[in-house]
Amino acid sequence: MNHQEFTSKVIPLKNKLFRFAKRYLEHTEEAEDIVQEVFIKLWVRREKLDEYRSVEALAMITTKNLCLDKIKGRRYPVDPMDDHRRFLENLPEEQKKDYSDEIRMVRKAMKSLPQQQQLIIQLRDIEGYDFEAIAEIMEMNENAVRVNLSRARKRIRDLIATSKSYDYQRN
Amino acid sequence: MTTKEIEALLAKYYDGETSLNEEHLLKNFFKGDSIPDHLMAHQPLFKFTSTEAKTEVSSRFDQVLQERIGTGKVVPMNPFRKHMALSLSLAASIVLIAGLITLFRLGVFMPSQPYGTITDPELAYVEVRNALYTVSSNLNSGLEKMKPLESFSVGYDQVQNLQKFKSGLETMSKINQLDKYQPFKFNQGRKTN
Repeated sequence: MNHQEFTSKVIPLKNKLFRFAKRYLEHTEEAEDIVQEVFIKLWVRREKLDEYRSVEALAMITTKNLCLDKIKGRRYPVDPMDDHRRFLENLPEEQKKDYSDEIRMVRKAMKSLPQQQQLIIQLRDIEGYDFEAIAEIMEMNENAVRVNLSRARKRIRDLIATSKSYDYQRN
Repeated sequence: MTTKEIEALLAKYYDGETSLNEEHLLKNFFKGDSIPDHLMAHQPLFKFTSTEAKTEVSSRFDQVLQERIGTGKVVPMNPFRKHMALSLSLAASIVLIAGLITLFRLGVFMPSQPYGTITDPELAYVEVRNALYTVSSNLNSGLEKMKPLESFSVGYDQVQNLQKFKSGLETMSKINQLDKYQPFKFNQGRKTN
């Protein structure tokens, strides 16, 4: 793979990789650093990339492994709310309406899920991967992916329902 | 799409059985305005997943990446935060060392008057011997002053004799028995006027 192919095939993955890393790390700057490192690693091995069936899956798996290393090396926990606040402040005006109370509610429900389920929702409902790819990236079998996806979706639905009825009672 | 179809798709969706195509249909449906009230509760999740897919890297990401790939250097994109502690402690130690060196150079730690120096070894020997003599003679005169302290031990031996008191006291303790008897009254039988 030469420089041109790398630029046209690998680098466009940056936002997917970034969102995936951010789901893991809950930290914008750290997620960007990780994606940079992923690209450097792939760039160093660019001669061998054509041997892989899917460079995208390789990039996602590399991102996952670097994130796990990063989390292991953390000496203190990050504050995801702090990161989210800064994220909202830096958001352009026209996108701010997207972050309504409802969406914040889903985000909160999402954060309460086990990490594996969060990542499966990320890969399926946000990035639109098929089950085969998700199974490869998460190193699970397809059936387990399906079961966890179903659990995660239902859990979010139920959490939203309870917080809505709570709002209703309060008003 | 009819409400019935949407309801059926939703049930499949929560069971993890929908295809990517069907999920796309659901996303589009919940983007629209014609959502029946009883389905509104499902909208936030689909809104959330559509919104999250818009999150992108910061604008300087590409530039940093191009620089790094061009030079092959592995530099963190946000180095400040990561290395802040390290650089702060480095800066502090550099300031400390520089400060100490300056102070030494200014001679702050040197005595204000240099001591006399002797280059001739023989003279040095004589000087040292004189100094040591002075020390030892002073020491001896001090020791002589201590001599009278010996009479202390003589006094101490004599004080030891006080122990004999103790046996005397034991003999005296027999007097205590007197307390058992009625006190002798001198005035008995004498008239008072």
